[in-house]
Amino acid sequence: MTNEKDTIRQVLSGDDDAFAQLVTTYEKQVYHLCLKMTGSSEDAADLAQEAFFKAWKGLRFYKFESSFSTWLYRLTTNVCIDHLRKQKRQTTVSMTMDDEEDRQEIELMDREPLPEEQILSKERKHQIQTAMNKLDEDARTILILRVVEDLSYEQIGQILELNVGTVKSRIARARGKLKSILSEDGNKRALRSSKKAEREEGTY
Amino acid sequence: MNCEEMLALISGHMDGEISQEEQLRLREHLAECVSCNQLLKELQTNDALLAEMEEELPIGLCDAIMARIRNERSRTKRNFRIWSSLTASAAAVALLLGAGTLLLPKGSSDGSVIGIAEPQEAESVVYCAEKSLSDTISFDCAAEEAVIEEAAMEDAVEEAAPAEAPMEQKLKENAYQEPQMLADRLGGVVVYFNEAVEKLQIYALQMTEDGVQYYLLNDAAEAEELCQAYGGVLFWPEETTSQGAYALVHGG
Repeated sequence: MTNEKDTIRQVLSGDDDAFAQLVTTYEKQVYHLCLKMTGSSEDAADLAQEAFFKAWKGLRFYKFESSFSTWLYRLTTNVCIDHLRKQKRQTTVSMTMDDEEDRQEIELMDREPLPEEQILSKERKHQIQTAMNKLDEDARTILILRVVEDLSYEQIGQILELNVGTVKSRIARARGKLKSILSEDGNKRALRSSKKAEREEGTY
Repeated sequence: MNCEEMLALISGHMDGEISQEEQLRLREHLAECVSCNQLLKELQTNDALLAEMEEELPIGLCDAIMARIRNERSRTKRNFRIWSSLTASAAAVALLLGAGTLLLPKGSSDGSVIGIAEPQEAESVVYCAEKSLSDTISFDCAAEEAVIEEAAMEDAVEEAAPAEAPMEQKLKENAYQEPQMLADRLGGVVVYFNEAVEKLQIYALQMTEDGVQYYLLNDAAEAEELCQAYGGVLFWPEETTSQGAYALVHGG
């Protein structure tokens, strides 16, 4: 098993195939991070590619101070955050988050009837990703790094360049925010379905 | 103990990152507080939901990445062959920008080579007629990087420039996103130039963690001076967090 530092040095001396080793080692994490950040598998694929490409291009700036995965994570979160900010600026006024949610929910409901289990888990996935998308980028990032990527406070501190105390309080706040978004969304859904039930009753 | 404190304690407990003493305090509190118990359960459920989504990796992600890298590699090799046939003779300072346009700042100072040697190009070597030493100079023609090296080629500029004009146009359309993003990222004012500014070479060149190269200026006043003197555009961060100042060159 090649030492990672050696692999990196090989890439730095022009061996592109060595870089493929780094890609296969980290592609899952990088892709999942991008996926959770954006909620879109297409965007995630593009952003993951972008992150690795920039890592290859900027490898000479990796100073071997932190671990390579920390450096890569940092680069990836920045690529994702930039993408989300750009998207924010480009979103047209007419499409609000709620409209999008309604549309998706209608799509969900109009499909062929699926076995109960599948419906529940699809819905749950959709709910949590929708809620995540409503979090600001920083809260989203830190929650993903801790809960999904299972990194320690210290590792997260290195990636985001924060001290452990700050990491701790930000994670707590992000969890709190996510909880309130989920219950807000839950209430909205309950309201919508009760209204729907009322309308349906009304037709008889 | 207020709600916010409890949230921090519960959250820290979920991550196994609170002290023994804090654990004790938490346990005592949970023994009497129903809503905090509920909170803990809810947060644990949400965490589980978040963590459970194991999506499949898209097929061919690694291949797509490697293909892009190899493509980039061969593109720069091709451009380098053009470059070395043009640099056959003398030595001056050239700045390679974005779409491959060669620009020469007027009057190079001493004969030293200011080169950013790219490890990926380590095997590229250029022999300069005016120097007895062979220098390892390498460059990359990609839209995001600029390399400064010495060559003397008024003629080459004229030959190279016209062919690249249409590309440059397209690049300009999206150009303003990058300086704004940089200003937001760094929390300081960014002065943005469409073309190389020789004066910038005295400043330290840095790179962001996602590959954008920029110069570190001393303060905002300096950014404004450069802006006025060389026809740049200033970008301020949405939230001013520091007094930092930076310079960004298109394609750099």
